[in-house]
Amino acid sequence: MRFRLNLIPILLAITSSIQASEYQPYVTIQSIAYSNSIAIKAIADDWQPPFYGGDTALIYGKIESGVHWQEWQLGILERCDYFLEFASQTAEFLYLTKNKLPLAPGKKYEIYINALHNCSQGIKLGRMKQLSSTLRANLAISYLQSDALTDGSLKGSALVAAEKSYDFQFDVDYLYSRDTLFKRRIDTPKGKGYTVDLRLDWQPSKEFSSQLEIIDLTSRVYWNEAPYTIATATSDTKTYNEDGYIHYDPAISGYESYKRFAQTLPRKTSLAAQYRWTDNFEALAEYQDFEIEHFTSIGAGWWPGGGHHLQGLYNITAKAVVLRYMWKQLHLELGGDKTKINQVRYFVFQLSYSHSF
Amino acid sequence: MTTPFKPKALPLLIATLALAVSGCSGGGGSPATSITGVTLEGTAAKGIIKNGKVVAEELSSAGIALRTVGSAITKVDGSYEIAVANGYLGGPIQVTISSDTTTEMKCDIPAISGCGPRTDDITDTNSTVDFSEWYKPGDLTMTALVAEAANGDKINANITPYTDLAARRAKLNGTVDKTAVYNANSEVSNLLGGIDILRTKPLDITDPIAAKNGTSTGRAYAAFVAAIASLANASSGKPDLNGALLTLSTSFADGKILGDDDSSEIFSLQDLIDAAEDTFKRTGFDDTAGVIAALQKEATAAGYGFFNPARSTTADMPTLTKVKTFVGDVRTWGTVISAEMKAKGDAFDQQTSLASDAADMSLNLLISPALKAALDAIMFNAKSTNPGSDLSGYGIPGFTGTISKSNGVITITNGVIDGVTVNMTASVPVNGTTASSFTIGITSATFRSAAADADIKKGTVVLNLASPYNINYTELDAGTASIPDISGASIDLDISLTQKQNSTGGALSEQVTFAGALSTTLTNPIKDAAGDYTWITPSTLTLGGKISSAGHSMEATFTANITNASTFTPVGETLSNPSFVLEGSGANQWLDATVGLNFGLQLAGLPKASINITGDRTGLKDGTAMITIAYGTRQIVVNGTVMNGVTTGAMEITNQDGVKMTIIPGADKTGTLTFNGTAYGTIKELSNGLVKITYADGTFETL
Repeated sequence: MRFRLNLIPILLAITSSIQASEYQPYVTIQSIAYSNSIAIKAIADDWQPPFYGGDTALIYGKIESGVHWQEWQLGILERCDYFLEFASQTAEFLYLTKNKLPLAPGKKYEIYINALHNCSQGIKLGRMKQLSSTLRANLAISYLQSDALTDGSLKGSALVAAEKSYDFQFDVDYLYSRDTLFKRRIDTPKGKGYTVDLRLDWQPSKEFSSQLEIIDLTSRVYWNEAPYTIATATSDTKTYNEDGYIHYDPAISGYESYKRFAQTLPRKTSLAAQYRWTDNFEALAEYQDFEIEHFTSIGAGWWPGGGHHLQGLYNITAKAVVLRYMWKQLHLELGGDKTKINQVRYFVFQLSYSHSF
Repeated sequence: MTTPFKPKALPLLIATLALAVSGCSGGGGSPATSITGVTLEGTAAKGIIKNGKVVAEELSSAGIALRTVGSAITKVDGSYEIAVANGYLGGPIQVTISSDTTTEMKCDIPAISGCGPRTDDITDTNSTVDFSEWYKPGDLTMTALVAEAANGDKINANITPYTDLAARRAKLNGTVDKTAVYNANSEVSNLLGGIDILRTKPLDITDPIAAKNGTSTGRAYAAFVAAIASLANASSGKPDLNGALLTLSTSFADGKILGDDDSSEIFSLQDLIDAAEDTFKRTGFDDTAGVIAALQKEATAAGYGFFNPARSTTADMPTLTKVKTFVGDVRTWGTVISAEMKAKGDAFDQQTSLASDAADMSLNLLISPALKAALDAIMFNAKSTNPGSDLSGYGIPGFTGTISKSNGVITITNGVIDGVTVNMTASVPVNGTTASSFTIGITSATFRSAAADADIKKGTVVLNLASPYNINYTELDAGTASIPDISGASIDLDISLTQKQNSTGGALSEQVTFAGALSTTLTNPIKDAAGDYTWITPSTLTLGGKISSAGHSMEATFTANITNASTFTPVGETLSNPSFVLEGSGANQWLDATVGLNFGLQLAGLPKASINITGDRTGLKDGTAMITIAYGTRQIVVNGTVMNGVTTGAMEITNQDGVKMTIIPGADKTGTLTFNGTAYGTIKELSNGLVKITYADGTFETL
């Protein structure tokens, strides 16, 4: 996750300089990270065990600050998406080879990995509308300026010839702001675009309430000069020319240039429902859809009094526990599946505060 | 195919892409507009030419000069530089040097008569234009053709009789386009064994320092340039160079040249070789580049027929295609040499190493004792008035057989000692002879044993003395004779050895045969305080031979020139001193050597190649090295520099088309691919160990 800390003074300045009572400054920091195949830290750390199998990894983070004024909302934000989708065989192959573990001769691994990365800064304009006595809607549109991009895939296969050797063939087609594969020297591209977020709050009764939030309901980031690379790699480099002599082709060859590209940010949908069966207790159910991964959680909430509100959830998909504390306009959330940092595969953190004068 | 190398590349690439999103870290066609920034530079040599007028003209496809794009006057070293003027549109450029009354040329004809009688106004100590002296050549015009130039190109365009020959070839068909020029230059380059006639700087071979400091191919080029003057008609008093250029063109009219001939009207390849060899002999250098030896094979093979050098198949390719083809060649040869050659070479090395050990033992224990016994018997016979013919009476334990003498030639017949059968014929100076030069020789010798066989086909040592000396064997035998003052020597040996057993006496699975010759010229003998000789320095050394075993064979020649042989002094005082130190870092304390090793190489799946490795020492632990892999009409040349015993600086790899790969060593190797000084690709080593080459057209590949 990469945020520029220089936004923080701006955010603080905004929230502290607004004094009028009709304004409600707010700040939100949220982050979720998940990898179902291996610990999050291990992805950047040579795929150290344990290995669980799996085919996705994602990180989404956002820091946002601004003001609410009547039905309007104006804020600035910085956000990053890191989304990885791969074949489970690919993860296994990576795990075995990175850890120098023996491969099974004759086994063919599907190599597939699809990657999406975007980091943007932007301005957000939103409006809340009370559609009925039970339904309230928030619609926000953000203007984004992006400078971090990865979008594309690597596809192919690897056939194990012996425990420590294999034949391979794969194709790469990806756009980037930093060529991590082939170290191409480029000028950092700039993207401009928008995204639309929607939130619906529905409370048909005193006991039951529900929220639907869709981040990046529709989005586009336009890159005018997006660097890209198309490449083919093969271990079968030995050929023969017309004279019958050996010729070695390159193991990797390709083409790199720039092109216009419209990037769509992954839609993140969250549906939550609460049923309050007493004044102090509630039952919770939540479902989150991150396009490449879905999470289902159940839990319970407790009002100990004094406006304090506690919630505990168990994320069935990630086998993780999430705790929330809410008091007035403060929202604090922390969750994870492991206590040791180098074993964590699921992590969630959120801090929101909205101030009323 | 299974990945023989870089097995970690794939997981690294995949993981890197994963890390990228989760790792949290942050030519072609004719130009219609003027080509600018082009520089032409080179050396004009048919003999180095100074004050020659060089004119560069852009040609039409019909070979007509469209416009003059620059001019220059050659400097004292023959060099010139022209900044091509705006208005040049990218066509072939003709660079012409012509002479006037101020133009002078270095005489590089090695004959005693040099370049003939002095007829110009240059001050001289005698009336002859000697080797290395300047003279006014009179009417002389030579050209070179450059196929094309791109913006910013820095083009080498030397002007020599061979560029002139190529220019004439290019114009023969009436269409002078870049294809014709590229092909003609390539063809003539291959006439000279692959010397790039445009880009190889012809050295001033008459200047020992310039020749020493130049490249081995530069020396060879200069020798062949000098050959044209040597072959020129000098009946008018000085060489008719224009006439020689015309004769050269006529001799190569169809793109082929006679291997040998008996005519004075044309030049054959043998003529060129002989004249170039004469130049080398005159300068004291040997051809460490191996060009003469390679061309001699061609001339011998052609006989009185034709040698038809082909152009490089890549010569007329578009520049970027040339660059990519070159990279492919480097990759292929690099991969094969580092992988396949290693496996096979190891086995071959083991076999020859085994045989070498055994051969050492055979030589030391069997052949050498037998040789010593035979020589002792011969010397005993030579100095005795009535020695007898039975070897058993010569006082050499265990030596039997017969010996005879006739007219100074002594013959051992069926001599047997320690299981070795010796048959030998030798000649020694006759007792009482007075001369300044003595030859001691083994006419022939055979040694036969169960472990090894050895043949000496020729063995000659010539001792040159400072003053006449009288041979008196009686006084020599008694130790009362004076020691002659040796001024120099030469040695020629031609031997063969077949090893049949290993050092433990077991039969080798495959016999190993070495056949070779050693030739050296020795000079500057050093005496110690007692007046005994302790050292003599070889000024030239040639060692050639062929080692064969189990179908593998390697033929190699080693050549060395030591330019400071006459002044070199060993650091240590006596060779018998255990702490004897041959070299030091002081003046004349290290052998200033230029060496060359040539051998053929046949790798599985690849065309047979000839390998030339040259080294030029510039200090005790400093020097430059060049490896040339030549196969067919193509070659790969690797240049490196050694400083203080460590390879340093950029490594350059070039080919027959003038494409240059420059690799800068370091933690992450970087480099460039250039042609005519313009970059067409960049090189960078990736974190996964692969070396990525990115071309100017956006494509890339790994090396």
